[in-house]
Amino acid sequence: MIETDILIVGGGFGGLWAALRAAECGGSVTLVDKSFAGKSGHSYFAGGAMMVLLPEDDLDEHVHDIVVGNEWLVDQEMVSAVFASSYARLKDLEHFGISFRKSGGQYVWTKARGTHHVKNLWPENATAADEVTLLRKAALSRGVRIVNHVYIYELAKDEQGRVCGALGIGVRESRDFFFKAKSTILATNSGSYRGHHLACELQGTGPFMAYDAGAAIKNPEFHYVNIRPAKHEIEGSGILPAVGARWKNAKGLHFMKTYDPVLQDRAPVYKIIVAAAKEALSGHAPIFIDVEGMTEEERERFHILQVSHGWMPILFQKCEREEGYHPLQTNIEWQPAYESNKLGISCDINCRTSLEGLFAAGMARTLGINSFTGWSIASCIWSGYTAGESAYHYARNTLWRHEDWAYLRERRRVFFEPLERDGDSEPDDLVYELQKTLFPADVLIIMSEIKLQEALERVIYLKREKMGCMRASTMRDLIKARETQTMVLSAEMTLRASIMRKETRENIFYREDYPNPDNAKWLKWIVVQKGSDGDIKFSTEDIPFDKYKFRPR
Amino acid sequence: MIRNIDQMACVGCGICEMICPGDVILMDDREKARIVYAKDCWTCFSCEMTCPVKAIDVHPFRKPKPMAW
Repeated sequence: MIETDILIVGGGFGGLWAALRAAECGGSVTLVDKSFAGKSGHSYFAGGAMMVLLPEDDLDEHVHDIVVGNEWLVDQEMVSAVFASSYARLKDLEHFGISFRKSGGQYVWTKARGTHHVKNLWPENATAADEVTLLRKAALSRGVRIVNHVYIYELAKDEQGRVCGALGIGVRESRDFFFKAKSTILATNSGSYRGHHLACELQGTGPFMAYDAGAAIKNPEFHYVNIRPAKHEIEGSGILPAVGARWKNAKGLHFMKTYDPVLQDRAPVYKIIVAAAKEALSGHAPIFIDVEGMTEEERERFHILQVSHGWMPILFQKCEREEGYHPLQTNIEWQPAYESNKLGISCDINCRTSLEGLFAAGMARTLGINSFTGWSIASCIWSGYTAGESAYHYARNTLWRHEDWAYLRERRRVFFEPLERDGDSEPDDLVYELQKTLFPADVLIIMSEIKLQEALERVIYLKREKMGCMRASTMRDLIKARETQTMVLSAEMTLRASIMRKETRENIFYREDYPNPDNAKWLKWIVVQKGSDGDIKFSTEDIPFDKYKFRPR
Repeated sequence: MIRNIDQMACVGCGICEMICPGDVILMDDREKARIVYAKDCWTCFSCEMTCPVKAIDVHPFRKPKPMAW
């Protein structure tokens, strides 16, 4: 058992910032990561762009851009708080040793795609890897205890249902862990289905642990689909069009000219993916980004921005040497990749969840729907900082809770069940079935009631017939079994909520059978909670426009 | 996907084992890094980039997965 004032689960931007802030406030802080804090999950592989409101910029203009990009379905107070604190956090990052690009003493910035005013600042080497590495070092120097290679699978509660820590298992060695804490922060991301893009591998079990413990989850119908080369990685799908490349279909047609005559290839990524899917489903696949049509100057610009550092030079060299093509000179097929859920634990402006003692940071909480470049890092940093501070204040004014051992023993038994089973289904096989169900473009990209229902029936079948007989022979399999249970739950939530939302919002949600926005009925959030019968309970929550600055016409 | 760890070159520092986000590499009892779960490789190149003696080789292609079309 490890006792700590504040327990943080997850070592990306959200978790590390929570640790830094809580330790700065004065609490004892323990951060647990199932891999290696600062080198795992989403943050390490992020491009590094960060939205910042510079002192000369107008806050309202920035908030308005983000609110409109989220089609009004976002907490405006949260958006405002992210921008209002962003410059101070930029200065903190610089203090930690992270330098951002400057020219003539001024920050170099690019305008965030899909916005009119929002500026993205870039770290010197255009990758977030160095940032999280330095944040980890800063956290250690502030006395944060970091426990790597421990998988947290369940929240601990006292007899009143208040969260008082978490249960975990060693990834490398079969050791039980119980972290007893006054405040617990989940910063685990929101999960995915292991699609073909690097970042899809993350497994955010945090929101589902919170759901299981009784917390409310918001935005289950939304997801972040990216577009990536079919066989390997290339970072910069947003930058390629910005430097001059065009999306084309198999006939060589520059199709975004038709789908968005104004923004064309600079349209939000969601619109590009819906357009690409329509083209592909009309028989015009493969879809590719026309690098062959780029000028040498355009290639050089992309090269400087994205191929001059990190793993991209290795990948480019090997593609050329072993596969016989250069990814910036030969057109290759691109495919949508389901990157992550957009659901998250419902939180207030202080990152408190609906469960006492539980806080959430990073993508594990709701941070909006539109995946603008630069928003993720800015909002994860804000939420980490805020959750760290809130968790510290809560811990300071709280006595140690007495954990409910009967509850903990039962949850542990359930987690270990697959080890004792003689079942016939393996976690990896079940994940593959889920991928086959969810990834076709006419399920979660071009949505319709018929296809969503068909997919839901398949997921319910997997849940009832396969999940219960999933077996595990090692700790690794056991963790995979829990991740698979999480994915099945996530799929069910997503599909059922997508069927509920009978409308289209072109930047974030496309229902072919309801092609228009329906503000009268759907200017609201979908919320899920676990019912007393164990089933998922869906409800809607009105968006409090009366206290917000901006309202749709 | 991770393809090879040169056993002659590996100095057994354990950095790749420590940082691999997919826990694909483990140190064996001779203190050499071994690919144990290749199919779980993220193809993130972290190990290849970090290895101090350049003993690790990752192929750019990922394990095939179901596609959108």
